[in-house]
Amino acid sequence: MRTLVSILILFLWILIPGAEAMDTLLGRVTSIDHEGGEMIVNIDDTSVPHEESSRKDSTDARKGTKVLFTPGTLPTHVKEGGMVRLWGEYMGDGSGNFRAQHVYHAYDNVGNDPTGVRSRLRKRRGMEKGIQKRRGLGGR
Amino acid sequence: MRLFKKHNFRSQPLWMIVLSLLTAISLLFLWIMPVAALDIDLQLSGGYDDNTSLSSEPEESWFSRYQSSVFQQFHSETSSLRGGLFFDFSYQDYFSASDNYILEAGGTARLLTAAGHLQPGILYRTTLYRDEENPEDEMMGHDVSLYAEYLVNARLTLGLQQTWSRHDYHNPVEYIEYTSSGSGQGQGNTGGNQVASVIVESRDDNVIETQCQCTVFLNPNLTARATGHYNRLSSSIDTEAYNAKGLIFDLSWVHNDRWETSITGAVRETDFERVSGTPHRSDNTESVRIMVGRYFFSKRKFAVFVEIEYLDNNSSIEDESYHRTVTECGLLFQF
Repeated sequence: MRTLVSILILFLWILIPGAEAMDTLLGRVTSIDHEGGEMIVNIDDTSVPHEESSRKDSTDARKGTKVLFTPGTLPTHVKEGGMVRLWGEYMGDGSGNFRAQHVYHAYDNVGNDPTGVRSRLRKRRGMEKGIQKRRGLGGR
Repeated sequence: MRLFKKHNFRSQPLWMIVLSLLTAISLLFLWIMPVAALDIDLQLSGGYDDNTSLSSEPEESWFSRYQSSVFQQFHSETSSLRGGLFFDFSYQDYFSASDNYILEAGGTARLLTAAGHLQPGILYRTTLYRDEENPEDEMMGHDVSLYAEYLVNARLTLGLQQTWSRHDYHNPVEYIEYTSSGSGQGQGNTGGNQVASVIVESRDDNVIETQCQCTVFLNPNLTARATGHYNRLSSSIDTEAYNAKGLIFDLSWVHNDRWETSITGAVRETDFERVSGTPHRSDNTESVRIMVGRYFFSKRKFAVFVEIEYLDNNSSIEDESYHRTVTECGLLFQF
């Protein structure tokens, strides 16, 4: 297990420095324009306080924030009414718009498994031959 | 390779009832709720298992595995209700042993509450397991889970899940019983105790599992997760009952939207029921799994992956100590 812990620490040490490079937003999608690459999101949480977000008055906040994304890159499970986790940055032109480089469904713990299917596939290993073998003393 | 064999399904009526219920629920969802596109996953893989029976006297084998999963998601346009039905199948063929397969079917429903920050849900799953190599392991299971996920902030999600499971074994089970007088089909003597091989016609298990999960989104590509769990298994065979607790750490890294690497480490302590006259058994299990995958095409429709898993079980009973390494590589298709 010491080897495992060492690997995990090394892994984190290499990768975490990039964590603060982007802002993270959490919010609920109110509308999506797939072809235009825009959606309106009611922001609930900003993990990294930003001048642009703090400049927005309460009226704008109620209307939602315009989020720009590259058309065709939106995950299929991101829909109106759903919660999204956004990674990117405010545009800095005073518009308060947010350019998202990554858009994830907020309840996808791992971005590649929106339906949970791969998690279920992995769990099957526990059902494999032998895992439920006789537990009684002397059992094989 | 023999895919299916005839079985005496003791619980076949129940299985049919479950299928009928799922079909009825599907039709109900189709009627009242819009449906999203059907998600279909196919996975073909092969590899090498150096201890197929999880035994202190390992038997090794190459294997191939074929898995499929169908998931139909439903959503409501007027409320925050979401639902889905799934049907999963996995068939594993050991080249030096007999094959096994699993059928799973179930449904899930969840609701967005607290302005979207809290998502409670319920999941039902029925499992049919068939094993030609170890027929005593064949069983049918039913799980009901209540769960809730809470979005604390943009980087942190907490989860809680409570699961109740029922496992009905199909075939007679043979186990060893210690008695002072000695009775049964096969008998011996160990350390002053009579050892008897006992065959019971049926075995039923009830499992309760509590799971707590903490997921941290370190950056757009890196997700860390810690899961703690407690399991209580009650069995009609006293020596099978246990309490277990464990921790699972998982780190997943997606690079350039193409590569995915994940490392999972797990520790688990299992304390078996103390049965009079029987040596007490407790196990400490550690495992580590490393997976590297490469996705191709847009929307990650196709992937190639390699996975290595090492498991080490140290038991207070020497015969129950073992270790196992599974190396597997395969293809994943997503439609």
